[in-house]
Amino acid sequence: MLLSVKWLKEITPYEGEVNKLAHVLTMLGLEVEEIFNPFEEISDIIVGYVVECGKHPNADKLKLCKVDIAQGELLDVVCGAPNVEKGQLIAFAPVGAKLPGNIKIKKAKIRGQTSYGMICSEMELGLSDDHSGIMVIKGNIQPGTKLIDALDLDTCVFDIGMTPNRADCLSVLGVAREVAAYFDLPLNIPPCDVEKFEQEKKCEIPIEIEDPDDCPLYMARILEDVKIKPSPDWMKYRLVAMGVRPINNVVDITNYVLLELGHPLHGFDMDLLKGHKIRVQRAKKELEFTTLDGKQRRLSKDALLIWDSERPIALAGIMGGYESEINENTKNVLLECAIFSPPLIRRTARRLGISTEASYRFERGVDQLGAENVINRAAYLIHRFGGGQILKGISKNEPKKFKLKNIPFRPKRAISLLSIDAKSEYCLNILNRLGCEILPTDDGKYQVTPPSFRLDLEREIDLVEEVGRFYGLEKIPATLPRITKSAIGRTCTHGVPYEFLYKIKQWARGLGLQECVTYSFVDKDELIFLGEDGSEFVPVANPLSKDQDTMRTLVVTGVLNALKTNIHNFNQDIRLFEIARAFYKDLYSETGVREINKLTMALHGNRYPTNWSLPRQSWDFYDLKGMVENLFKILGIYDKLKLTSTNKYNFLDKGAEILINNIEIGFLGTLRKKYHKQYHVKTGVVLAELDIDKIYSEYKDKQIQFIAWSKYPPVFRDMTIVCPEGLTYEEIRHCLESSKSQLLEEVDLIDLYIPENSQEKRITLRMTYRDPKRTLTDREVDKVHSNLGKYLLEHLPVRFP
Amino acid sequence: MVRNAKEFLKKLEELKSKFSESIGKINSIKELEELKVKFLGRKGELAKIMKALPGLAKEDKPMAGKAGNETKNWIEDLLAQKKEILEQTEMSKPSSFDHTLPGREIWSGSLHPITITIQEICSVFVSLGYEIVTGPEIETDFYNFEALNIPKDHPARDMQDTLYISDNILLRTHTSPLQIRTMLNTKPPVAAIAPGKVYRRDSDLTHSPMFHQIEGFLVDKDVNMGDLRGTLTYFVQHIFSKDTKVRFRPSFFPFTEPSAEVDISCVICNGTGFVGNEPCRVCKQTGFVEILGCGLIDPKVFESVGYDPEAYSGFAFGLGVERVAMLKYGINDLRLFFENDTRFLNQFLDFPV
Repeated sequence: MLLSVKWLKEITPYEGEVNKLAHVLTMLGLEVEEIFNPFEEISDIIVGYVVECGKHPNADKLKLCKVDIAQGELLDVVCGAPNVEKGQLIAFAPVGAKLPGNIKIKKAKIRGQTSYGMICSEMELGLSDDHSGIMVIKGNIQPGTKLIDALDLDTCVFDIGMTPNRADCLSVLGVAREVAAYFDLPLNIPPCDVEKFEQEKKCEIPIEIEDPDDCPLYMARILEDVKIKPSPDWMKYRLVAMGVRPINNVVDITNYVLLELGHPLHGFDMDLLKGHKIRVQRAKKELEFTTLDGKQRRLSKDALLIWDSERPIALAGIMGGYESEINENTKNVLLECAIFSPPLIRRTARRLGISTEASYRFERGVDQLGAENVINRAAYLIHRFGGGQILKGISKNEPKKFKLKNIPFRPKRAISLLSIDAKSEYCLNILNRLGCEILPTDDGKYQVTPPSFRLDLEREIDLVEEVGRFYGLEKIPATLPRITKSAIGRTCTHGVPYEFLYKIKQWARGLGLQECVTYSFVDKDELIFLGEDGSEFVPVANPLSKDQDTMRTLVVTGVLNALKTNIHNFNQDIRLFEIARAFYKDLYSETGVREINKLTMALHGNRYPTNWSLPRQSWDFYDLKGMVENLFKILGIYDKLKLTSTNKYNFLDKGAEILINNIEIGFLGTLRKKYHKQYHVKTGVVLAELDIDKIYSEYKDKQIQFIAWSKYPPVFRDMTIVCPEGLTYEEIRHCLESSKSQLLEEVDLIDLYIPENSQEKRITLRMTYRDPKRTLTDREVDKVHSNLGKYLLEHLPVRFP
Repeated sequence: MVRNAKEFLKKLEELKSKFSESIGKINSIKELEELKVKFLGRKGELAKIMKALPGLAKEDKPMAGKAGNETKNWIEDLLAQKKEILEQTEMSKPSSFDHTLPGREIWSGSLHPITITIQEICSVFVSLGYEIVTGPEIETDFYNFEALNIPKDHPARDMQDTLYISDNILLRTHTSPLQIRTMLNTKPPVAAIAPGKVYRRDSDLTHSPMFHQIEGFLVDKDVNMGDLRGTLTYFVQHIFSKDTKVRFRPSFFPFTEPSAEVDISCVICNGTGFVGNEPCRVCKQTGFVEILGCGLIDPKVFESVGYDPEAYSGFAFGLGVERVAMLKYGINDLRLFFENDTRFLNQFLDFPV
């Protein structure tokens, strides 16, 4: 919210420095985010006096003026405006001055005459849309004075970040109340003493309100024979400073009073209303309504409207209607000042996607008891600056009176929660300065009645906060609490504990992989493109863009897209991993969604860094498989791991499913060529994705059990066998295990060779033989080894070379 | 043939002088090895002499055996000395070995700066006795809003523009639902810290639709604003530096009251408002930057989880992880976190414990 410091000072006489004021407001919870001068762009403009104004010798429509800016010499200035005359005070931009839009004034030759500056129009200065002629300044002002000083503009404006609870501060008066309370200053309520200007003729218009909850109060005043014209300059300029476009006196006054007192008002052209009646009622059925910005809006049936006898005339609390708007021909004005249900206004405004100064305030709540002052203030100003006749009295319907709240308050509670060094009287004094009525009660407590504008003060804790705010949070001593929590472990964790995920991240980092973090939502089409099952998708109902419209079912999309970015940026040799959740539709879950923690990895480019003694080799399937196996070994669950080949993943070539206890937990494979283009990949990419939740449930009860080893030496024997195409290593392993050879401790695959033009694999195995209780002799090992070879020949289609 | 001890000893002396002469001519380790075999080998010179030992008189045998051993030791010592000399000479010769060649490089892995920051922050709180909790990223309206005193059609909902799955299901807009989930699951006292991803319908230079938050909360008897100030000051000074100033100013959150925002002295300009002669862009010359929101837990939150607000009090705070990381590492563009360019990732090789 914008706040003019000058305007504030008109209501409460703060005399201190602006920065101090900003600091105090910030530390009271009204954060001054920026201090600026809305007229910064015209700060170079000065007042000039037109000493002479003659014809330009070479141009009929131009004039040649001599302008006094109190710098000794008079300046020659060429001016094309029709209204420039000798004896005027004008807004002058000297050579070197800047105008809005970053225009710099230079010495110029215009039709042979040198012009030393420019006489400006209001539009050129950004003060109004008036470009019919130059701006003429009234009053007795010394030439050379800065224009911003001459016009007494609001040159110091605070931009305050107002929190949603402080509806009472959405006005100059509201902030002034805080300042007055803090510095103990008087508050000068702007004049709204309207009775003495009232006519004999009574203001009488029937007001019907359908539901008191929708509209607890509706007041109207009628002004006749109003002259619609521009507002006085000071008001126009003040509105400009507040970012509001001046329109005409009546509209400007309703806006001015809104900014000043915080209560939105609306003016209708009385003669455009049909029938002499106002009705507040919901739309009841969907209907079209044209608001005063000329937009036709489709209203839902519960939108609250103001009606005349026949039709809706305003969207209550949000925006007036096009057909009853104040216009240049308006004579008679009906002024509305009402209270509307905050949630209702908010719902309608949000549904229509509009937020106005009015809806913003009604959503947050306005002061019902202050409403009469507000309508009187506006009527007073219209009478003063629009010359209208104020009809006697206010037409009013208040089906629901405002009830002040009585809140029990214990100063001791405030002191202990805030941990402040203060007495009860101190707390009560603060509340008193904020406008609360305080009564002691029999039980040693107090009954506090906050003022009607403080709708946010409802409970004792709200009063505690007020005490804290004025005491100053900065003065509260800092203490470290002793944590006395129960000894029983975790209280809430979704799936796997944070620490386990961090452990896996550290493992991956140790392998030389780099962690990335990517968005959880992707383009649905990307998932479909990768062959995912759409029936499990969790779509986002209101995504920011199409490429974020679905929660991902594959986490691997993240590393693939990170890969794409890196390849695009000429980065090479990319080793990425991510741990994030995948999301699936699940009717049995509380949220309708199942979230699973996944680890994904992607390798692209070279296996080793570029180095004089390391080979140039690309990553392949077995690199990533080794990493996956390593993870399972580290976690002590390697015996549960199984890989089987699969065609299930459309985007994988040589894909394998990863299984734990024969349940699928992920995949491993190389990206199919077909998909290379999408991710800008030129060489191969190896990918894996694993369900961390399932890995964790296998791991969580694992405990390392020490096993003593044999102190007798091992004996090694190698064996090469020739295998036909299609025989897998796993089958050979199984066969070796089924041989139940007692002394065989370990088998390592030490060589694999496929001769050219052959489909047969030559496999060399190294067997480790050992007996736990004695040293083996060469002879007995030879026998066992040769028996094992025979066993293989008998059970597998293999032969010796 | 050696027949007596005298001759035996004489042979040994002859061997020694012959060895002395030979070793003087040796110029390489290879020759030295050959010399060793020649004199000390199984069929070497010394062995030949020693063959005579069994034929000597019984009373001479110990003395002769000892002399043989001494000779062997004497030769071995000379061989070792010579070997050392030769090796020294060998090593001082110029060679093709170049110790300045780069070592066989090892890939450096890295953790994402968001992970690093989360871990560092969590560690501080774990050391204070907090436990780490996590929860779903897709939440119900109840956990994300209602139970946190953010009713439907309340302006406080504007503070967080929400991405919805359906009317009642949404992407959590903050980690505060973990307050509710944790408290519903356990009785006070509770001290927990909850890191995680959060989502808002907001995307521009300074907003990302997905970012990370850490929520922390403590509920016990007599927890007060002073405890909150103390805890957060401790945290800030551990994460930034012990000279970092911490400022509390009143604010509003529906689920805390009193509420405050915490500013820290700007780490970019050290709170001076200027970097060199230029106004500091990070704190906009104010010398302070906003870092987290906090407050005492609102009694309405306690009511929604069934805690007695008269018996217990507590505080809660929430902070943006990216914000802390940006300040800590001087990162000037939020988007860098989610692009995962390796030139970015490579700058975060160090890792927290």
